[in-house]
Amino acid sequence: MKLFTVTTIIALTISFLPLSCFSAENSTARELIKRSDELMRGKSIAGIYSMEINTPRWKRKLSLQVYSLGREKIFIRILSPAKEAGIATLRIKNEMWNYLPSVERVIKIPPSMMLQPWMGSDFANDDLVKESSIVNDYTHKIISEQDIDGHPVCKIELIPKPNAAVIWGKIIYWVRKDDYIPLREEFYNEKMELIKLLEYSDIGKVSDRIIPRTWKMKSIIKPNHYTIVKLVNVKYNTPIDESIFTLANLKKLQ
Amino acid sequence: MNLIKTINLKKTYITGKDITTDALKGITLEIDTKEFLAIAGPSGSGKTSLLNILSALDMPTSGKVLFENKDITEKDINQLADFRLNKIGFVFQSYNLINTLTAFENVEYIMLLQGRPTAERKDKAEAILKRVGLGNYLNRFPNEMSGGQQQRVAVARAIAAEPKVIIADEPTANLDSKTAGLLMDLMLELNEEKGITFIFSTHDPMIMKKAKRIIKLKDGLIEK
Amino acid sequence: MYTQIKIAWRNIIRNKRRSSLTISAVGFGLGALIFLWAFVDGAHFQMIENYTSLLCGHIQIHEKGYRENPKLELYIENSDKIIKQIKKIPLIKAITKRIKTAGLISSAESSAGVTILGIEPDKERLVSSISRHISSGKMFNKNDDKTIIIGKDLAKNLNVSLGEKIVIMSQALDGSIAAGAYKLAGILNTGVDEIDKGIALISHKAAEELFYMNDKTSEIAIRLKSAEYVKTASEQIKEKLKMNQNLEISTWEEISPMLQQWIEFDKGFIIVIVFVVIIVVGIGILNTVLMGVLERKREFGILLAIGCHRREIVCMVAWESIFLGIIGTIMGLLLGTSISLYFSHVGINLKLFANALNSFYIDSFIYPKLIATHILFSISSVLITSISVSIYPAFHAANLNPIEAIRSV
Repeated sequence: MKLFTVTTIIALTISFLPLSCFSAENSTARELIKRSDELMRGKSIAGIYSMEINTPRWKRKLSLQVYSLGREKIFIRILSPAKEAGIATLRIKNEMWNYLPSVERVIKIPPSMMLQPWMGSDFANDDLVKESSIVNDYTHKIISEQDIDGHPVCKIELIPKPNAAVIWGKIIYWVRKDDYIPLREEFYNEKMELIKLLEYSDIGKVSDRIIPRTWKMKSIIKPNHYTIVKLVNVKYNTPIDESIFTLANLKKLQ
Repeated sequence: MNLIKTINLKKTYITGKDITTDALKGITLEIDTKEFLAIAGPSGSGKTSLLNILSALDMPTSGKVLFENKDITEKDINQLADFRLNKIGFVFQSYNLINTLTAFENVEYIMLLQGRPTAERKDKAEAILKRVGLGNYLNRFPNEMSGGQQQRVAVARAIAAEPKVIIADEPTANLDSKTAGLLMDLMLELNEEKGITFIFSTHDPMIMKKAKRIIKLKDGLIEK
Repeated sequence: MYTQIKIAWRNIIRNKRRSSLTISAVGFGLGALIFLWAFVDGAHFQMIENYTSLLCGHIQIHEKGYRENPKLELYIENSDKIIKQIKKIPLIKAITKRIKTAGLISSAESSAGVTILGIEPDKERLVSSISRHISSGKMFNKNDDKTIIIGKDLAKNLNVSLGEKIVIMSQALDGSIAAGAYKLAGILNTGVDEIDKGIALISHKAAEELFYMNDKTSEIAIRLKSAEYVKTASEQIKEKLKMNQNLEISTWEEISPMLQQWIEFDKGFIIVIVFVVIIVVGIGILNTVLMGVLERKREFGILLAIGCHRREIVCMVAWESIFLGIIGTIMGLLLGTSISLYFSHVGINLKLFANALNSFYIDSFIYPKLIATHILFSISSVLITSISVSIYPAFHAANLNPIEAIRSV
């Protein structure tokens, strides 16, 4: 009886082993990406970030107040420096507006400007407008696994689906298998040339989760251009007033 | 003195596909300076062929032609042209002259080809045209002259080049008998004056009478 | 030689009708070629004038690397000093400077990407004709930093009219956000999409304030006395500014290769016409001379018989061709140049094609332009053709068998 049980268990394990190994790698990859995306995005975000923009000619540091709800709404207001304080950006679904207090005008960003840098940084307007595209608009495949700092890390290749409206030809996403923490994203154009590189570091506790707190977006085609975003004081999944994500709120001076 | 000598001259023409005509079947003759010679015979006897060869316009199929003891069959095209220019004078049956040149210019032209200086050309052309009786026709164009006058200009041109021999192929065929006779008399006079050999072909007995010597041709051979 | 020429000439006179027909063919062919070429040259001249005078100028000076990568950061330092250095060059008619960068323009209703130009209106007027294309409103003066001028298509897209508020958003030299509000003072109508859709003009002073570009500028634009001096002038400027290693000096051809390409394309078109004319002229003369030779077989036979060398015969025939060619050429030259000169004063009215022409920077009235080298080329082609075409008939005549030739009827 014992032998039978043991044999059965061994047999079942063996028979399931290959299945788990070959079970749609895609769904494992997709799962990883989905979980990682949810980790970074949460249901809502409210907080202060710092953004340091570096180019060979100048360096600027902005302090930003950010609110985000799910995947559809984002509100960002510049708090400092003084010259730019009050400039705000609102994104609802795939539409985007900027508010400029110095001229008291709300400007809608036309689709033709989507690839332009947001406020001169290495993040494009499009990066902020990005919906759940990373999960739904790409096919995912694990291309390798390795150990980094004691954690298993999957290197996942994201290829845009045929009709997806995305500008990248390919994204390579490094993510920790155990806690879904993203480590690195590489962005390639349609000619498969590396254009931008996003490095996550300084992993630590933020609000109710463990995530990287420093994000460095580096331009490959423009040498010595990079932008560092740091989480200063960020809270996840706190209730957020929907009225924040309105044009009226854009214009409020605070 | 021996001017021209032919040895067993033969000329064959290819007149069609695989059809040949023997125009001259073996002509051997000698011609001296100062001769006034008629080549007589019916049409087809080979008169024209013989004259063409003697005047270096054509080459024999076989046999030799010696001019002043030199074989003219060895010469190339340009050498033959020079030979004809300087040694031979031509009077054709008709259309001897260049229509766009005056009588004077026609006679002058041949001396120009020979490279003679301007003064000499002009004096000689005038003198010779006067000699043949056309002193008042210097500036006439060929289409402004009669047949006989045109032939006389041709003779003048031939003389002007100071050749050794003048070859005339039926020179009087297109002229009336009186004009023909006058032309022949002129040629005879020039022959006596200048010592130039005249060889002319004809089938007209009246013309033959004027010759000092007659060579009769029949079927490509000299008739004895 | 003289007699051969005499003979050749008299042959041509002899056959007056045939000779006149041939000469006319050559004459009309050449005349048409000269006129068409002058027409195309006239159109090109206008194209270049219109394009360079609209906004580009004949020569532009930038900081090195600007043309490849037009960034605000590649600005020209000490632009006034540079302008002073080159002002004295006699070929230069006027100089102006401009700040140029990309940005977002928006009205109450919508926004669009735009190229922002900060200009000095008093100097700009002497360099480009842009201020003359203001269809409503008027140009600001150089101290005005509160007004803006945009193209009519852009105004329509933004749905703004004179007096309304327009906002510009861009990035200043220090990277910070540059935002400014201006009143619409004028609307441009140039007929050129690039400008009417995508340009916004503010004063150089306003641009300096907006972009933190004090004493700096993006480009120096130069107008010469005439576009033909471009290469010479550019060399002279390079010489005067050679101390400054940071500048690049570009001609309008380098700035807009597209226009150059159109002109090159037309050159190909002209070559085709030259070919056609050569063929017509060649056939015309060949026909006449060959007929003449065949008709005079007997004469050539006699000439060959009496001892004319073949090369002398060739000469005779060649001279006929030469005469026909020369007379035809003179006729064609007179015809072509007189028609071109007449229209170069009166102009050719192409109003029917005005729309198509405008997009190529050509006006509806074209003034043909006679250019010496082009006329020379046309004449040489025709003359060379006339002479070469005589080779066949000449050799044919020279190689006749005298005996057969004399016998021909």
